[in-house]
Amino acid sequence: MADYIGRTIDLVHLHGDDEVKEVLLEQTLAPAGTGGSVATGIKKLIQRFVLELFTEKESMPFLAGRGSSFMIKARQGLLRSQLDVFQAFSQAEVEIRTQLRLEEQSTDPNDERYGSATLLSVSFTTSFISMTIRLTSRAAAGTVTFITPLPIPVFEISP
Amino acid sequence: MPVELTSLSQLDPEVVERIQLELAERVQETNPDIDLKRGVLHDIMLHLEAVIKALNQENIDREKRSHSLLAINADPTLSEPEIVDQVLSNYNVERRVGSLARGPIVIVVSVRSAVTIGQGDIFEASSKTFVTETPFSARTEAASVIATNDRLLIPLTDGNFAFTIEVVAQEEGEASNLPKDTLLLPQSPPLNFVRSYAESDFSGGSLDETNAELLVALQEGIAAKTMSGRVTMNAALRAETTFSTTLATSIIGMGDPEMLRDRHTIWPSGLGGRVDWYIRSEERARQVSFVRTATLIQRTVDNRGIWQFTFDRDEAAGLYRVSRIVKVGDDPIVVGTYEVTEDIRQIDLTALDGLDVLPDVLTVPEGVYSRFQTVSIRFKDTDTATLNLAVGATQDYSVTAQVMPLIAEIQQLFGSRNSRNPAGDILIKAAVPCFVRISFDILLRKNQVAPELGPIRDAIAQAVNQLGFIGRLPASVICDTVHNFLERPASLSSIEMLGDLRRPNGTVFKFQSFEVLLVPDDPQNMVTPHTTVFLLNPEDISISVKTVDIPQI
Repeated sequence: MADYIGRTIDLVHLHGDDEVKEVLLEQTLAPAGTGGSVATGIKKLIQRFVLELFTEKESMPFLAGRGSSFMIKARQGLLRSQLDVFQAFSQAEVEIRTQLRLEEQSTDPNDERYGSATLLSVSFTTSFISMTIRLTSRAAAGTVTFITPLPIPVFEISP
Repeated sequence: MPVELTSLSQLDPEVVERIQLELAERVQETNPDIDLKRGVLHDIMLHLEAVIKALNQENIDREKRSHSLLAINADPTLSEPEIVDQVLSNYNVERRVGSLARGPIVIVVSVRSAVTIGQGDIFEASSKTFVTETPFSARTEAASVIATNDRLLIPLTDGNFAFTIEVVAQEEGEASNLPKDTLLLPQSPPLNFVRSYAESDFSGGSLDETNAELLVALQEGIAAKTMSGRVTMNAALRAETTFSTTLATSIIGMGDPEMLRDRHTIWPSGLGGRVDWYIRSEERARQVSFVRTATLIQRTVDNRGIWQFTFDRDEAAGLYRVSRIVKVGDDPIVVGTYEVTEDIRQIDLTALDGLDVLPDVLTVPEGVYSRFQTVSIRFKDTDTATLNLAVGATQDYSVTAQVMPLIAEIQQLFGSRNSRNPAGDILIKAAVPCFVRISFDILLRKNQVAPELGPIRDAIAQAVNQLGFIGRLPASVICDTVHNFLERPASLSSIEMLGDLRRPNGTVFKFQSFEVLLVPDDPQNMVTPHTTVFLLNPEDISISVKTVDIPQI
């Protein structure tokens, strides 16, 4: 809780990354049986980046500038090799960088401000593409602490 | 809710953005720890909430505008028709719904044998389609004409045979009010088909009244339906179902220079107590067919003769002119017309049932185009030899006259004791006609597709005929109308407008202009913009399509 003092919070929409391991995240505002979570710090930056990466550009009504071209290419079947994925990611990163920096202010905490993103590796399976991405904030290296999301309590009202 | 906006894509993006900012500010005031500038809350929840809120706000605004007479008055196009109907019903104003034009078609066949026209058979004319509502059977013998839809084949003088059927337009609108003699093509021609044409003017076609037209009617809807002033008189006229579609009226009373009937004394100025009500009941003068028995009044040196027939006042109400005279049995499409040599107008002021006081009409021009005029037409029959005929011999002719309808009916209603202003009389007259002919060129670039000319003619005729009593026809009306049908860089050129203004005294004033046709100011002959209207038929519009050298860039 102390980590949240002086910070602003956002809703968590990617759940399941509480532990440091490979895990399939659940994209929902409130997993079943819970009231959802709020997060701050680097988690917010991760969410923003993922939102931009996986939103098709011009797909959001009245926010035509949001999103990137990455998923458009994936949907069109253009990502057939690792090279295709690297190229698509590079193009998308430029688009995402512009969007994220436009909405940031100098007064925001450095660990919530976008620095860079690098695609480290890509692997294809029969049903999905696995990408390892290093996301770097403006905070100095080694100074970022992952702040655990806080659950939103659910109150049950007895009849 | 009819005003409801259902497509989010129609929302104004600036409105959505403004609402999102407002929402963010309000939520941030009470929740300073929430990040509402970016992220999930901003991009997904707040944004979508702003979109829905913008939609609701737009619907609320639309609903408010539709209920506001001020807003409807300012911009009638913004208001949903159903809501406007509800608002204006509070003022006794009802939207006139569209209707289908109807009329008779003459079908000419070459052989005297039974013909059947099926139900649903389609006829086409000027890009419009008409359909039979019932089957029709043409019989060769009168004894065989039994059912309601049986028709007798009538022999024509050219050896063909003709019968008449009824059709109805498939689309609402005035454009389907075909003029008499318009050629129609059947989609499935019957056996031995020669041609088919409109026997008389089609009528009854109209579009739904627009919000703008309703607002004009609003003033009359609120007004008292009395004969006490111009607004109330028009309100009284349009309150009657039969006359509710009257296109334009002009009321001439005391003090107006066109009022001559209140000066029938030695007093140097008008005494009042007289009203001349000029009426334009329809867009076009209706072409009405009659069969007249004409009398030979003079034998001419070329073995032909001058014949005469008369319309009494019951038939001549609102009659402008005779446009065609042919012998009964002649196909009017094939033969021409006998030329009218004299058009003699008189006034019949004998007692009339239902009118306790007849209008004070002293001279013939004062009563011309009213229900009290009689018309005698003299013409030369260039075909009938008169060597063996005595003066006084008779012969039947098929006559077509151009008439402004409903003049007699309006006189009967508003001239009656219960309706008219007890302080004076009222004389209903058809508006003084200025028959217009128009010609112009459409200039196209090479290889540019030429537009269909039929709809252009219809649109021009409608635009001119709806001008009302304004006294001027600018060429810009034609340009404005035609350009709706043209694609760049097509243009208009050589616009010429010709007017034949038939004065009440019987003389015809011919004039032309390339810029604006101006009705002369001649109140002593009751010809001014207050009394005169422009009448234009689509077939009187001549359009030449030319290709010019417009360079491609």
